[in-house]
Amino acid sequence: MDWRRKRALDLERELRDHLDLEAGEQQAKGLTPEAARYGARRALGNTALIQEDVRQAWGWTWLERLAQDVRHVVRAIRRSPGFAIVAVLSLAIGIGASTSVFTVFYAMFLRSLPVRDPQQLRILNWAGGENVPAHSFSGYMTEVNGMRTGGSFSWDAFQAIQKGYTGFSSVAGFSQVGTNVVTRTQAWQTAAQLVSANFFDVLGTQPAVGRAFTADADSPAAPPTVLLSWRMAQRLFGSERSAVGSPVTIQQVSYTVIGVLPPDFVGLRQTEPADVYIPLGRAHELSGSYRFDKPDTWWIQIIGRVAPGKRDREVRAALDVILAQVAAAYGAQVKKPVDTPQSVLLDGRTGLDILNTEMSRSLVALFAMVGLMLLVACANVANLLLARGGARARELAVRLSLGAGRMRIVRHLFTESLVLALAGGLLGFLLARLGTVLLTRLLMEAYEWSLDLKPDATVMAFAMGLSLVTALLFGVLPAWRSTAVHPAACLRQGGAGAGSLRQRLAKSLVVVQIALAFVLVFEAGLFARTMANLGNVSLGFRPDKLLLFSVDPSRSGYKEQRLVDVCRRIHDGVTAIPGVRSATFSSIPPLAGWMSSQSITVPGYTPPPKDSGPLYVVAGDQFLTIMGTPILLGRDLSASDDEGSAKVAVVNQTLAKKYFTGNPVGREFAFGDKFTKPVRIVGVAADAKIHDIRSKIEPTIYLSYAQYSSRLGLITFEVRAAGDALSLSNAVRHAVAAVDSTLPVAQIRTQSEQINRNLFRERTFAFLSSFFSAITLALACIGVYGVFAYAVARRTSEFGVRMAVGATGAQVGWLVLRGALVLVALGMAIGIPAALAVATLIRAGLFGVEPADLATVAAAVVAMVVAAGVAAWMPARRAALLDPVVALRYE
Amino acid sequence: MEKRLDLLPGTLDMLILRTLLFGPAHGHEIAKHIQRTTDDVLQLEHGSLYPALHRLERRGWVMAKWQTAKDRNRQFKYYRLTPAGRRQLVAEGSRWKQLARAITRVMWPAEGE
Repeated sequence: MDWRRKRALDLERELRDHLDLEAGEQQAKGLTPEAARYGARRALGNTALIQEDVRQAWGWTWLERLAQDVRHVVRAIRRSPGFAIVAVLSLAIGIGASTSVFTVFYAMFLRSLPVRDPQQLRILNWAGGENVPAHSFSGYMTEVNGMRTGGSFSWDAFQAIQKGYTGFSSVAGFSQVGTNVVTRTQAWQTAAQLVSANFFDVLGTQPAVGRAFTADADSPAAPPTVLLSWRMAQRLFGSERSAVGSPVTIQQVSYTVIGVLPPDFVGLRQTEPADVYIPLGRAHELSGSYRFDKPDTWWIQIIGRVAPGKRDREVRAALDVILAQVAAAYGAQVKKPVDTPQSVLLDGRTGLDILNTEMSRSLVALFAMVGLMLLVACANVANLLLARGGARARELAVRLSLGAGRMRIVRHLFTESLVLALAGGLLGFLLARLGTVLLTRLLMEAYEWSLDLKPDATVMAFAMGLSLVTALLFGVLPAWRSTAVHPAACLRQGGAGAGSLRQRLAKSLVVVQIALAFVLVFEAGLFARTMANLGNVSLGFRPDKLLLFSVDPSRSGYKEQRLVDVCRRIHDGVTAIPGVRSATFSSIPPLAGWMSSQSITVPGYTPPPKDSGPLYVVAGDQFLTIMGTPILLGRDLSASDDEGSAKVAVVNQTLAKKYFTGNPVGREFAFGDKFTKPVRIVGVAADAKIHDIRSKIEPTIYLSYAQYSSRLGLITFEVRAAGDALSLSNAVRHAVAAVDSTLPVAQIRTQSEQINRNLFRERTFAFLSSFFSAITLALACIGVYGVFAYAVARRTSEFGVRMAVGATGAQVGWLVLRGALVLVALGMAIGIPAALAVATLIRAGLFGVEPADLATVAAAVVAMVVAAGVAAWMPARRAALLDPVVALRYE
Repeated sequence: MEKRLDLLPGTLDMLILRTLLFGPAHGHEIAKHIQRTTDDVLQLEHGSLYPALHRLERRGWVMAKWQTAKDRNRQFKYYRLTPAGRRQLVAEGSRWKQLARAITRVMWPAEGE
C-alpha cells in the first residue's frame, strides 16, 4: 500500500517536472509565462488519464476495483442490514452444520495418525476363498460373494513375515484383548493391546515418560513389562511419573510399568483406544482357554512400514510367497486342501478406524442431510439477491447506460455474494465449534472415543472452500440475471422491467427448496417412526428398575468351582443390599448386541443346510423369573441344578416350536453335531429378546452357570431395585469388593441406558434428522414468504384494480395463497419421488417401517403444506386487507 | 511545417528504447529527442510517454532513478536502458525493419530491389 502511494507521488512529481521544463522552453521561445504554462499542459494532455494509464501499466487496477467493490458492498449491506443478516445467518447455519460433520469425519477417517511418516504405514489384510484355514478368528473379517477378507493372521504367518524378506522396513503385530488391570488400590476392566516389542518403533512413537520395550521383551522368559496410556496412568496412579516402576497385576501375573505413552497417542483406533500395551510374548498368559499359536488360530493384526522407494506391488508379491508357504505347511500337516490367501495392503496413515464402515456410512448420511440443508440455504440467499437485484434494477440501468461494462457490474454483484458467503463461512466456522461439541456428545455417548476434534487449518479451509462454492451457487445466477436488462426500457418502466422473468426464476428456486425440504422431512419422519417402533417393541421381560453391571472373574484367574463360588457370593452379597428386590446374572448383557450360539442335535429333527444353531445364555438361578419372563411349561433354572446333577436347560417358545412337536419338557438335545452328553429340557419360557432389540427372536437356550462355568467370560449381573436403580451403584461396588477387592466392576448402567446405548445410532439419526429437517423447513418457508411478499408488493396496483371491479379481499388473498400452494404442489411432485428413492438407500437404518411408507408420506405432505401455507399466509393477508383506493394510487 | 503524422501503434516503446541507447534521459528529454530527430514529423503526445515508460520499467527493460541534472541544480527521474532492454531493442528493431521492407516491396516494387 505504502509502495503504491510512493509510486503515485513519484509520478506526480515526474509530470510536474515535465510541465516545468516544457513551459520553460516555450517561454524561451518568447511566449508569456501564462501562455507557456497553458501550452505545456496542452502538449502533455489529461494528467488524470495519464495517472490512470500508469496505474494500469503497473497492474493495480483489479486490486483497486476489488477494494472499491468491497467498500461499495459494505456500504450496501449497511443500508439494508436485515437482508444481510438473514443471508449470512442462513449460510452460517448450513456451513456450520456441514463443517461440524466434516470435523468428525476428518478426525476419524482422513487425518493422519500422530506418528512419524504416516504415509509409509500399511496395514496387512488377506483375501481368499472359504478354505483359508482361519478356523478360529478374532478381529475384522468380511465376506463378499464367497471371497473373504480378513485383518488377522496366525502366529506362524506373523513370524514368517517378520523374519522373511518383504520390502517392509519394519513390521509389527498387535491384537486387542479385554483385561482386568489391578493395582494395590484399584481394579479396572479395560482394553489391552498385545504388541510385538518393536510396535512403537514401527509407529515412531516414544513414551512420554520412562522407556519403550526392549527388543527381547517379546520372549516369554523376559520379565513382564507393560506400557500404559496417559489417561490410564492418571487413573491408576494419579500421575504419569509415579506410574513408572509401579507394579500392576494382569491375569494373576505381576507386570512392571516401564513407561507412559504421550497424551495424544491413541494407538491405531481412535474409536477403541487401548489403555495397556503388553508384549506379544505374554499371549500364552492372556489367551485363556484357546491356543494362540495354533496354525488355524488367526488373531494377530499386522502393520508395516514400506521401505522408501519400494512399490506396494513388490511388497505384495513377496508377502504372497510367504503366505503361500505358510498355507502349504498347514495343508501338509492336516492333509486337506487349503486356499492360499492373497495379501492386501491398506493405507495405514489414518489407522484402523477406516474399517468402521457403519460409522462412515452414518457420517455420509449426515453429510447428505446437511448438504441438502445448505442447498436450501443457498437457494434462499439467491432469492434474496434476485429480489434485491429487482429493487436495484434502476441503479444498475443507470450504471449500464453511463457506460459501465456488463462484466464489471456482474463482478461487482458477485463480490457482494462473495462478501456474504465469506461472512457466512466465518460465522459457520465458529458455529461449527459448537456443533462439533454437540455432535460428538451425541456420537460419543455410547463409546469411549478419543477423537481429536480441535478445528485446524484443514477444517478452516473446508469451511472457507464451502463458502466459495456456495457463493458460486447462489451468486452467479442473480448477478447475471440482474444485468440482463435493457437500460432504456428499464429506466422508462421505473425499474419494473424484466420483473416477470425474475419472478419465474425466484419461483423455480422456491420449488427446488420445497422439493429438497420435503426429502429431509420425509426421511426424518422415517427415522422418527423407526425410533417409535423400537420403543414399542415387546421385550418379553421387564426392563424397569433394573441395574446392570459387569465383572469378569475368569480374567482374574477364577476357574471351575471357584468361579461358580465367586458368582454365587457376589449374587448373595448384592441381594443382601437394602433396596435390592432380587438379583441374577447372565453370560450375555441383555440387549447389548452380544450373542453366542452353537448348533444342537435333536433326535428326529434334521436342520436345514447352513442353519446356525440357537443362541445360548448361561445364567444364574431363577434368571427368567427375576427378569420377568413367564415360564410357560415346567420350571426355571434353580440352585439344585449344580455340577453334581444332570445337565438341564430351559428353552424359549421359538426353540420349542422349531425343534420339537408338542411339549418339549423332559426331552433332550445335545450340543454339537453328535447326540452325546444330552441335556434335558426342564422348562419352556415365553419368548424374550436378549441379543438385540432390532432382530427377531431366535431359538434360545438358558443354561445353569453351575453346570456350564467353562462358558462364562464377562458376566453381567441384573439387579432389580425397589426404587431408583442407579442409586445402588456404590452399594454394588462395595458388595463386589467385599467378595474380592481385585475384581473390577465395569459398565454400571440401568437396563434402559443399555437399550439407549444399543439404539444410539437410531436415536442420533432420529434426533439429528428432525433437527436438520426443521431448520431446512424453516429456511424453505423464509423462501416462500420472501417470494410472495415481493409478489404482493409488485402486484399492489393490479390487486387494486381487481378490488375496484368487485373482487373481495378474501378472493385476492386466496389468489396469493393459491400461488404458494401451486409451488408447494410442484415442489412435492419432484420431492416425493426423490424422497422415496433416498429412502431405499437408508432401508438398512429403518425398523418396522417400509421405505415407501404411505402414512409417513402423508404426514410429510401435511407438514409441508401447513408450513408453506403459514409462510404465504402473511403476504396473502396483506393483499386481502389492501385498500383499493390506496392500492390504485400505489406506484 | 510539414503535415504531422500520428505514431503507429506499438512503435513508441521501440523509439523510447532507441533514444535511451545514447544514455540515461528523463521524460522531457526523451520527448524532445524523438520530436527533434523525426524533424517534428511524428506527432508525439507527451502524455502517452509516461504510461509507456512505466510499462517498460515494469517489464525490466528500463531502470529509473532520481538524479541531479548536469545543467540544473534539480533532480529529475532518469531512465536508463537495461541489458534486457537492449536485447528487446535489437529484436524489436529487426522485426520492424522486416515489416517495413515487406511493406515497401508491396507498395513500390521497383524501388526496393
